[in-house]
Amino acid sequence: MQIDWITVAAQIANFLVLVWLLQRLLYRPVVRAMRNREAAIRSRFAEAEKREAKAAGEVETLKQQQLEFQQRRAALLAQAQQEAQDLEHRLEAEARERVAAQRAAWESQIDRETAAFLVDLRREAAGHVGRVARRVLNDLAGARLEEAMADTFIAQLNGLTGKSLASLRAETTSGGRITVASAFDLPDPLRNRLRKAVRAVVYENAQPDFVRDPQIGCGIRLKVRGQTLQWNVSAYLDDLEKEIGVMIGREDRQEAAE
Amino acid sequence: MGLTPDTWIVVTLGPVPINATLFFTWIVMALLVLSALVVRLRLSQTGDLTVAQNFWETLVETMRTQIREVSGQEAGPYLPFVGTLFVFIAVSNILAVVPGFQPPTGSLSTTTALALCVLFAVPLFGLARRGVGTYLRSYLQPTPLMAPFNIIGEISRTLALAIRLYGNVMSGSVIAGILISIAPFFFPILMQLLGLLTGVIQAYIFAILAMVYIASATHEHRNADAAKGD
Repeated sequence: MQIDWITVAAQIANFLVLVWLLQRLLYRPVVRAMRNREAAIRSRFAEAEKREAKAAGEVETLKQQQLEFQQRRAALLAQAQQEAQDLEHRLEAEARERVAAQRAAWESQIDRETAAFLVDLRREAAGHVGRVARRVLNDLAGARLEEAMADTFIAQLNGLTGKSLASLRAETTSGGRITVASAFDLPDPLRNRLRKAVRAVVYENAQPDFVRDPQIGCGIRLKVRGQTLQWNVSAYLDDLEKEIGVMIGREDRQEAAE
Repeated sequence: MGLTPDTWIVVTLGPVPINATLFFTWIVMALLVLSALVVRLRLSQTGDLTVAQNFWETLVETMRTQIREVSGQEAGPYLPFVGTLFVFIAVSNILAVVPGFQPPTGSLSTTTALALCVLFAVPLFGLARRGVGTYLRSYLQPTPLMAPFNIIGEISRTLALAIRLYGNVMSGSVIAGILISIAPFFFPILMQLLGLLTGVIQAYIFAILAMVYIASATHEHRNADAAKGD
């Protein structure tokens, strides 16, 4: 074991040179590269944290916006529902008004048609009743219809009492003209009978005027100013008209209920 | 082959004979510098690293960590010296498995040179860090009577450092030679593998001890500062 001091000196020099070379070529660049990379990584971490914070803020903002959107949507939905209900009510009211108007028009038309029908019916019925009554009276009793009507009218006149009779007499005695109207011309014997009956019941000096009035229908009417006494088939026709009117009204109510 | 490569003259440059110690030292240096150049030329500042850069960064960072743990200081000022000690010794010892390669660390001249470097580096780092007066006063601690012993301690530990490395590397070569003569087919391989391990360990021990000596010199400076503060 020996030491070569020249080699020792050379090795010291070699080692120092190696230290210098490695410091320049290896340690310093490598350490610098590592530091740069660490700095870059730290920078990326900081950037990532910043982005994360920003993303968290954006998430919070989006949540807030979503909440506001939901609230606005709920408000709009409620408003739309309210408007829809209002529209529904308005349309329903309008429909009801239209239906009511149509119903009123329809009922008015029905009333008009009913009235026209009843008038026609009344005329037709009066004619039929007159013809039937004449035929029945001719067939059964052999008497003329005018005589039967005159008898009935005279019986009604004779049956007058109380206030009606007093009013009739008062009008006649105060100068009122007595008019006896019928739908057909009365023969003289019937006029005499009627005149006698009037003089016997109302006023003994009465001079009744006999006129023909087709509007009366099958019957006789006595009129003094405002006082009227009559008998004719119109009373029966009125009853028939009432019955038909009641029947038609009942059918209308049943249709409305359905 | 002798016990030391100092006596093996490999080549003569004019009047200067170049022994195996110097020759193989230059080879080791050339390999290290070449490797460093490869890393330096293809140095990447991003995450895309070459294998060589990855290897050297790992090694450098490990050495920096060891220096920080031993010295309790930043590794920057000590890395070139201590790191080069470790790298040079380790590479020299590892290359001992290459047939025909004589590890320079098997020369007492090399280990002495490295120990002398440590011997001078310790006070130089101490002086650089503490200043001349403060550092020299440490030799008078705890009393001026201890100054000779402190000086002897510095020299003896440097000597021990040199002898330890030389003895371990040289003994490996000697044992390999003896075992080859006894059992030439089996034991040399085991001894070569063991030599790889002990070579790296010896490099680690040498570097760590050097760092411990340097740290002891700089730690006194820190303790003195703490005493001043108290």
